[in-house]
Amino acid sequence: MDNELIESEDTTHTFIDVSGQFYDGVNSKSHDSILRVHTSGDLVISVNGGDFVPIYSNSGATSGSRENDEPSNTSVYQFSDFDISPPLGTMARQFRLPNDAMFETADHAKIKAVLDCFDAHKGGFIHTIESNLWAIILSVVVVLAFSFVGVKYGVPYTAKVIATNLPDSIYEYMDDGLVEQFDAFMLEPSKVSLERQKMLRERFQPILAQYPNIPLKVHFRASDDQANAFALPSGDLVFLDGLVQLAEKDEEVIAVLCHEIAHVYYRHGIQSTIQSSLVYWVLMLMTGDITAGTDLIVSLPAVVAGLSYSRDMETEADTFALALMHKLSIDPIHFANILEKMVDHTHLEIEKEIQNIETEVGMNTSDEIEEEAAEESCDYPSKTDEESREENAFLTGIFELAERYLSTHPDTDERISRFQEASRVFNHN
Amino acid sequence: MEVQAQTQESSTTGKATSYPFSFTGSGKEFFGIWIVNLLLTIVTIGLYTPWAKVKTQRYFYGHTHLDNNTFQYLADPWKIFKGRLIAIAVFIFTAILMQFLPIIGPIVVFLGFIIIMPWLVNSSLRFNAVNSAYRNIRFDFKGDYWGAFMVFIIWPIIAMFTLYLLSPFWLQRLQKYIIGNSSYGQTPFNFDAQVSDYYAFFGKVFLMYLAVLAVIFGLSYFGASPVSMVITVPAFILIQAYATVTMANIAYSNSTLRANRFDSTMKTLPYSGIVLKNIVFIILTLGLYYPWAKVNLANYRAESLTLEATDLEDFVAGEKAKVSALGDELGEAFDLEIPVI
Repeated sequence: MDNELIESEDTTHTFIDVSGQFYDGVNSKSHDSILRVHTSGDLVISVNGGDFVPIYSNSGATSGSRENDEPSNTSVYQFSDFDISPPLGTMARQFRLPNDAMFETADHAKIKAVLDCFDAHKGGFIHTIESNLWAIILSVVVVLAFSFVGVKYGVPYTAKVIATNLPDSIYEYMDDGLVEQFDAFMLEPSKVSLERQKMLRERFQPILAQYPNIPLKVHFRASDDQANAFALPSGDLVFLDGLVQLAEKDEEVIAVLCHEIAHVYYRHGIQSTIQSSLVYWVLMLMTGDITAGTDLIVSLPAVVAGLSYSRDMETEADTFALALMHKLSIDPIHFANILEKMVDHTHLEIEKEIQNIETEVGMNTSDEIEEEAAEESCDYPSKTDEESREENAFLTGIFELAERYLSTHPDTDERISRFQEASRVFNHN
Repeated sequence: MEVQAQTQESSTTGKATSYPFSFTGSGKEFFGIWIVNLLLTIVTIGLYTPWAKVKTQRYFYGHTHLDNNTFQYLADPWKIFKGRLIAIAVFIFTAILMQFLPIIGPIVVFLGFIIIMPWLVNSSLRFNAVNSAYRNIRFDFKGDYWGAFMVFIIWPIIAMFTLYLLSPFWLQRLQKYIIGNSSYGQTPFNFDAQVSDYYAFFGKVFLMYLAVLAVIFGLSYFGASPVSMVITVPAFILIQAYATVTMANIAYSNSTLRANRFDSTMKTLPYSGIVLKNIVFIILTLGLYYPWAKVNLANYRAESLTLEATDLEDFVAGEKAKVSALGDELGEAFDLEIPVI
């Protein structure tokens, strides 16, 4: 009776009808319904095409089957009782009542009219940004700039600060018998004569002695024909036979030693660990997903960032080596020379492999082989083999791009010319 | 018992209809939400993340349709915020404890973690369940401490000490624990996947790896090991996709709600196609494709899922959640994001 009275007195301007779904919160039925919001704040609802009745705070009262019951001693809900879900995209919005009943509608024009009427907009500001083109463009610029600066400079800087402030006892923690593990799986005993080993160790000794706080230990090992050297965070420096045999002068091995000492000195191993956890943390923030690290899509950029840090650390190690060689009065040309020999050596290896494949499988896959060979030589990647990919300029471009950004080391030619340049200055003085 | 009786009744009388799931979110629209989330996260030095999380979840739930209705995510970002603050406080406390008690500290922290872990996992699962709703009826999770203790601590240890030969048991128990203790309103889910299903799955994955290894060894025997790189990387991606897809299919297709059964028909090839497309575009767009990637996966996930249902109307809401005591609230707020499936 009440409803009819109201309706007949005021016609159009005193209420707004919104159609949507009504759920009583007691069972999972959804009811097609029309919510009528009066300017006074009174709420009435028509469920399944029935009469308009007030929404009572007694939860059972408004469910479709019992709409004719007139509950006594229960209050009637007002618009102000609604808890309205904030806008998000074009999604339907929910109007919740304290008794768990809910009205849902996607009629955004009507929602706006109702909210305007009661000045009940909330969460609207962020929603405006989310759908404003210029705000989105600005966000893209800020986010990209921040990610770039953060990942390129922020993460390595933070990692460096943390790594350098760790006490020297960190080296003891790092010494977990990694060399022994390598011996068991990947490395063979060195075939370099003990005399030569002893001679080299004697030449290394005064240099190592300059860093009494770092437990530097030199190991000679072999791994097939590989010409390489690497440093472990514990201070273990491993020289492979290939490298020692390539070196025509002791200075060339010493040059490599200077570079490897830098990795331990700057604690590059620890830095990489910190860097990668920081990058994953940043990615977790960006994707809002704690399991982001396990997702291939998300872990790829982390890998690319890691490679970039690795190149920066190599450059830093080169700088250190350069300074140390100056201090020891060793011509920087030795580093350039040994690098060149290592590149040529890798090339020979690759050519051998290509021949093997071409004769036995009969297909030209030199690019892939080279790619793999570059991965295999862990410390000094090969130069690009110009001839093998003249045919396809586009692929070459992609490959060079990939080589530049997916490599653990800076461009070898640039490294070589840097040391040659330094050598000229060295000899000039 | 009552539920059992109802199941019998409705399965004999009701006629099952296929209700397909569908996803209506758009990458373009989600992009705006995502990028603003990122902007605000950066501006607030990360404090905005709970709000960002809730928005993302609301978007994906709210665009997942079943029989003309959508799902809802109802979590209060403030609760998540409080939970994260507590988590940080606990972390700092344990760090200090380890610092000052070098020998006892780690033992105390380790034992404490073991003891508290089942409770934490349960709270988190419950938090997610009660904040998920469909047709204004919330889900619920009622796993108990020892149930969680078994599947999260005891079974992993058993699996480890049997060289993972009993892993299928562990996985079956785990999914049964999570799904079987969940309910929609007052109606519990039933999970009837058998251990044999998991052994079949593990066996197939094992054979696939074996086949790929055989190819690698074969190629290296003929001196063509570099070629194997070209074959093995896509092969491993495919196996990975097969594992993901099959696990999800097993979990969904063996879940029932009264006489209503889910049917998940994800396939390896289309799924890996989507993953590959996502990876390529994300690389080409410096990550800006991420919202579309997420939408693509949700799309495929939804379109491969149907509910064979006799009724979707008569589910009754659970008891209204009691006003949370402090401890309960803290537990709820430790949102661990355990991937259910």
